[in-house]
Amino acid sequence: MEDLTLDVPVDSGHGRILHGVDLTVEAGSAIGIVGESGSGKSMTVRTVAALLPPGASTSGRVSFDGDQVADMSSDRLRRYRSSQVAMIFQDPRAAINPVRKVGNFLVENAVTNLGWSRARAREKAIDVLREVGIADPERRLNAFPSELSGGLLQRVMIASTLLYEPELLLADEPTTALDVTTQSAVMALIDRLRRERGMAMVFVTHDLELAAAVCDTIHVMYAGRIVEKIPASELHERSRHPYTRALLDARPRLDGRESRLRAIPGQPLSGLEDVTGCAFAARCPFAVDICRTDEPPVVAVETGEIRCHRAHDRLWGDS
Amino acid sequence: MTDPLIVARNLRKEYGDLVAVDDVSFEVAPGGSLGIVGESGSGKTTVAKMLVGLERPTAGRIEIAGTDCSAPAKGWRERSRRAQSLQIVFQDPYSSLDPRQSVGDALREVLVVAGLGRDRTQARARELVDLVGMPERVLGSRPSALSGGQRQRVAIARALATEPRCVILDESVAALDVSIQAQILNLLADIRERTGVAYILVSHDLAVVRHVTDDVIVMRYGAIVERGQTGTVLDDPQHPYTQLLRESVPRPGWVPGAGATT
Amino acid sequence: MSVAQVASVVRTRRRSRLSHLGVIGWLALAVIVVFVFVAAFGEALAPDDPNAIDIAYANVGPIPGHPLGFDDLGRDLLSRLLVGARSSFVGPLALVALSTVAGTTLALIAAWRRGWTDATLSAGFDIAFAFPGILLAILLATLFGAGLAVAVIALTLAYTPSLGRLLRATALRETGMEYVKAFRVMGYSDVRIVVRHVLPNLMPFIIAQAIIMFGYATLDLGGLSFLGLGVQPPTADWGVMVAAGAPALLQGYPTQTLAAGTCLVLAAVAFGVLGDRLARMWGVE
Repeated sequence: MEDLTLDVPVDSGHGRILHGVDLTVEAGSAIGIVGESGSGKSMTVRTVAALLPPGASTSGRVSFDGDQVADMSSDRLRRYRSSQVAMIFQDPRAAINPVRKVGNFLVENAVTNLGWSRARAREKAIDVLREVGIADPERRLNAFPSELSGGLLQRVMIASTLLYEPELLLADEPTTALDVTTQSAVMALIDRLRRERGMAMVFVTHDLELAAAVCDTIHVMYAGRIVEKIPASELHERSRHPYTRALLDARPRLDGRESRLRAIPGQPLSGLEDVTGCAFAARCPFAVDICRTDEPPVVAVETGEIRCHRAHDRLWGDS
Repeated sequence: MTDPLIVARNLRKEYGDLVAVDDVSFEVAPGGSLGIVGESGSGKTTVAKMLVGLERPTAGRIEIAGTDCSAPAKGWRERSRRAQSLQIVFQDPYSSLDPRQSVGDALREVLVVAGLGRDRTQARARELVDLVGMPERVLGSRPSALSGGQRQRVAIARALATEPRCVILDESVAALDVSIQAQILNLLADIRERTGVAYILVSHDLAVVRHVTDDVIVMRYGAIVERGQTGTVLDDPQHPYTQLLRESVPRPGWVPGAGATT
Repeated sequence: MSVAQVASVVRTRRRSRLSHLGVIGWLALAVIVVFVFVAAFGEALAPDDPNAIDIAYANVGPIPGHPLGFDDLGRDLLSRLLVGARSSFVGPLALVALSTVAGTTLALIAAWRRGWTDATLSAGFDIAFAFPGILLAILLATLFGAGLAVAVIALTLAYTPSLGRLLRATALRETGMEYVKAFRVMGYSDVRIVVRHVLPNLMPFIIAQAIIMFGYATLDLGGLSFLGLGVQPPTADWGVMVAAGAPALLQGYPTQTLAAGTCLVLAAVAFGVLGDRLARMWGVE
């Protein structure tokens, strides 16, 4: 299997949302994109799926298996979207047509885009529903989305992606709308199925810990830029970008109580805003003059890459 | 031993056949803090709504500062009196402010309704935005000009305007970005230190509950399954459901699905 | 999440100011401004006495000083059109004002009280909505005699439920907002919350609906006047003029009917378009 490389600055005409994002997903690997609102994390995965808002324009390249997504013919694009990549959205209720039965939703893609027979698609649909842990799949096929809980519906969504075993799974905050216990179960499911089938995954979330638990590599985004790229296993001990560290420190702890949280001052910036220098400089405790004037370069460090002028300075005692 | 500020006794709420809240009792001391933890459908938000009089309990008793508040207030006088003991901050910073009202107007209106003379409202409004760490110029801003975190600060300022003795935080930081959430949590701690206000935090987020509250009740399907000091309950949960909740929170070294039996 | 936010940023930018009325919206606004001006100053603008009869000029076409010619009684058509504007708009104005106030009040009561009050009012809206307004007008006219006041009252009874139904749905959403709950907890009286907070937030919707309604009202009242149930001849009024021109139309002199009819339709379309554009601009469709 070949690599997927993409480089996607988006210019929507109103402003640039993504600024020179580089992302590589190896076949079968899982990468996490983590950021706050406005960081451009969702737009990044949407660009991969060629699902952009009307009027958006891109420069740079998104390629899949060596093919440029932007150059794909409509037939090729349909094949790409219907059989090679799959997407799981945050709100399954918004993504699944509420007036059609679950079974209908499941077989639709297989029948219209992949040319399966209805009977075969239905049979396979029952298999995948069982596989995502839905009891009594035959009955569920005849249920309407409104009759299922959010967690069950998200399982249906996951099941739909398994029907055609895509090579790449795009998951955009798939568990944000779910309860914690349901989130845990759904993430375990996604993680298991992905590993069993050797699917690659791009997992978008605002939750660093969640991403670290199911991904190989973490990409931290801020204001439309990837500011740090680091193996998930190194995240807690060896992340170096001030923003990554600040995010890790800002969450209250489950196993103890500190009197004050280390909050990040100011507001998160969106990629739309014009900045000179480093986008994080205004909130960064380590910012020096150059941070406010020059856009930081991407610096290769031992753990991966970071976008910081002070990449080689020892900002923390232990790193 | 001081008298409790808020007493809930055997609260029950039914919607038709559905029992949303079943036999829930708790107390909150003046200046204390109680976490109500649960997932969707646990009844935690219904409890909050009954406390502030937005829902009428089917059975049970609510006492706030020694007064029976089991039924929604009759008449604006009683409403206004209750408003000065208990306030609430909702989850959604985008719908909890009147979009047409400037921050200053919103604060002044609460103060006027609470019976403060018009000549003093301006000064008090300034104090309030200062208390929530915002510059005075936001008094002239409409909510649409503010970010989610700023709106939540305004909602907190508004809740504090009447100097209530207790504020219910109904998932008040759940919709905020991590970096903003930390700012607001610090702010809530500062306010508590300065004013001695008590908090009831309704939340599904165990880490936030741990950070804010001293005592906790864990709810599931409308009933309390575990209660105790927050640290004790979270470090050493006794009920299987509390254990599952705790195991479900992502943290370093966590594996999804841990603790799940299904 | 982020995409929705980005989209909403784009949307708020797009929804700025009057420039988004579009060409058609501006055209409609211009037509309305002209009509309103004429309705206000019609008598001063009219070149001739609109009620001066001169049989010698009956159905005479355009001549210098009388660009539209004369009607079947030899009255100057242009003057009658200009003066008739007021009568053609006063009725709709009263109708829209009455039904907007009534519809808004009922919708707010239904949305605020909910429960059985809402169920009763909604059922009332549905039943009244199903009853045709013209039929009601004919009924009332037979009972109380024809006239503008009776026609306006009849149509108010017909218009109120349709606005009430529309507004109730929007008001339900607004009263469900958390700020309304917060105000209740803060001890605000119901009247204060509804009048000072909920109602102002519904105003864009109400105004847009009232303007759209005004378009229908000019046509419906014009129609009733045409049937002889509204404004009574010899008052200069477009609906009356359409009817009065009918015999001449059959004799091959269509000017009166056509001119008055065009004014009515133009007004109706202009109000409809403007209301629709405003609703879109304010995002309250």
